[in-house]
Amino acid sequence: MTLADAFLNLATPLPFLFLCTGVFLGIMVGVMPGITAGMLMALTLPFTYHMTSQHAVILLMGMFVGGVSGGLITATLMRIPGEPNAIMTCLDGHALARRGFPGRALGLGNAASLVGGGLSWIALVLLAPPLAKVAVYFGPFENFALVVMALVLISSLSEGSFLKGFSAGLLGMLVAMPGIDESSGMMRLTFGVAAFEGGFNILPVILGTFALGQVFADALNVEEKFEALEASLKGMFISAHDYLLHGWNILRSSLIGLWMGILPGVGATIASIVAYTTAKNVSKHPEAFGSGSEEAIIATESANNATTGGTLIPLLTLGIPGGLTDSILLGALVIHNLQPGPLLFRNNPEIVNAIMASHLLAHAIMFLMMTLGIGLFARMMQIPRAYVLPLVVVFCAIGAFALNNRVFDVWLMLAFGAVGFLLEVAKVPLAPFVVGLALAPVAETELRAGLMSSAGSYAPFVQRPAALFLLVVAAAVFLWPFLRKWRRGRAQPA
Amino acid sequence: MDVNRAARVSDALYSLALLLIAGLVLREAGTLAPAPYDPLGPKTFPVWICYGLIALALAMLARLATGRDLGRAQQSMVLGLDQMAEHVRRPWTALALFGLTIAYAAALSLRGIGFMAATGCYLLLAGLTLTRLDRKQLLPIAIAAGVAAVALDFIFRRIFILDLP
Repeated sequence: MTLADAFLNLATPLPFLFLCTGVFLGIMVGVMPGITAGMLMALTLPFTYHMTSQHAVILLMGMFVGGVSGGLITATLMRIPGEPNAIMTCLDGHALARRGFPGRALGLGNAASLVGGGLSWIALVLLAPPLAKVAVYFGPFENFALVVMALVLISSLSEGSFLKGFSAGLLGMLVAMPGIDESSGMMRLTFGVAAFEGGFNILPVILGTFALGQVFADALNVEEKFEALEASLKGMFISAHDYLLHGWNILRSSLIGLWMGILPGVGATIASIVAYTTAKNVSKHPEAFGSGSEEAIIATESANNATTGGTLIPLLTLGIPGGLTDSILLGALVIHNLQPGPLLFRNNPEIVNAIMASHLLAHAIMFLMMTLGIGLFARMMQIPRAYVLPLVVVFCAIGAFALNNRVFDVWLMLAFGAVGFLLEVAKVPLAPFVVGLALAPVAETELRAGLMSSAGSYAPFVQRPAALFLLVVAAAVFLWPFLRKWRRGRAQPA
Repeated sequence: MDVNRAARVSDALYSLALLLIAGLVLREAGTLAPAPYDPLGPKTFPVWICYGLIALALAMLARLATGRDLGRAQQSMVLGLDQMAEHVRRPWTALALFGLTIAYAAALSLRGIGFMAATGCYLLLAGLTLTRLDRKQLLPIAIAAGVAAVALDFIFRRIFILDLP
């Protein structure tokens, strides 16, 4: 199936319905403080098990795009980031709304999101296939080195907590170990518990860490009050003149978002901060930033939507999640027995094209829904948490149980919900944990296959240039924080 | 306990937990036999991971012992935990919700209590917990809980044809 076929497929009733549903739910969740798009996607994973892989990725892509965009509404009307990537939009979006222009603030953000997403789609379509063609020549040693690099990269996400991040990644890998060893058929690390023989499925772990942890955090913050400005369509439709006026800003911010999205572990939040700062630095009116600057809104919203295409590039071509939410997309592909990476382009091109087509169309649908449904979405901000949070828990329980029809998975989800919450309280990054969990089976299988083919020799790690390069990059990223600290210590006067 | 001290205590506990987990897994992995024709076998990979965890845990404890901190994750998967709150935080509400969720999972495990009854009770009690037992909310939450429990049971059993507990 080509990309054109994928677009045509999206025009048929069922895939189109899935995409629209995904975008709608993503926006809805992006709007509601305390409920994240990651949580929604994690909740949806178990139900995608009963769908075809294509429909599943279409639905999840809709949620992904909708969720990134939905945070704009809460940020503008309530000065609360509905999603973490909307933090910078809070500053100027809300200020412009308070000056009497809520529609214009929302319209600018919405338009910027559409263009940013569109530009990142172009990059996705142009860059991903050639990169996949190179990566298809990777053997087991390269694939193992790639996983090591991915883990080190995503652990380095948080400067200053690299040790914690890397330990979280290793912990995630360890959680993937119990159960049947696929290479030898032996049972391992079950501790004599029969329920462990099936292993720890990635799904209840993701549900627990992503969704339940957030529910408990929201319960902790149940006294938090939200006051919202009234949503208005007045001024929401942006003219061609506005697009031209802000054209350079949109292009620059989109490229920043795209690049940040491609870098594994960076994500939309940092992209929006960098785009905001850059826009402020080059602006003729930097003093306006923070008090309703249109340039600021455009910069942050185009950057954070541009990351959506950027994060898909390493995910699809190399199997490395480019951002926090990408690790759930990775989990979704794994659950459907699809291995993200270069072979996905060869073995399942229809999935790749479905993802690409959904990405673009989701942005267009998002733009229309946000424009026309602003009143409805604004009302959703007011749904009390007392109704929503317990329902989220019930959906998690259903999702975990439905996987294998065993209550053990519900207990597993609960356990990892508590573990995930405690890790967050201790400021241990969770993204490396999830990445380690998802990639550990791949890493072990590839390493063992490689060593069997080389009769136990590790020399191919040095003899094969791609594997050596990836390991060198991993080592450099691992050592860089320590090197930088050492240099800073030397530079400081005694 | 000030914030820095609390952070150091949690970091130390995290490091010790890693040591404990790695130790337990190493002991269990030691019982595995090597596989023929496989240079690594089923136990090598978990053992390497445990060695990595032990090394990192010891490095973290050494940093803490020398008065340095371990840093903080810049990006959080969970919103609402990292910033200072203007509102009052309710740890007991979060704990109560966690306790109710455990009870819900236990109820789902028992054959005598069906999904609908367990879910209805959970939604009601959890909703009341989150409203801090506000009497005015009792009736609306009770109605919402009942309707949701019936609707979910119908949707997932009859429409999605899922087996529920």
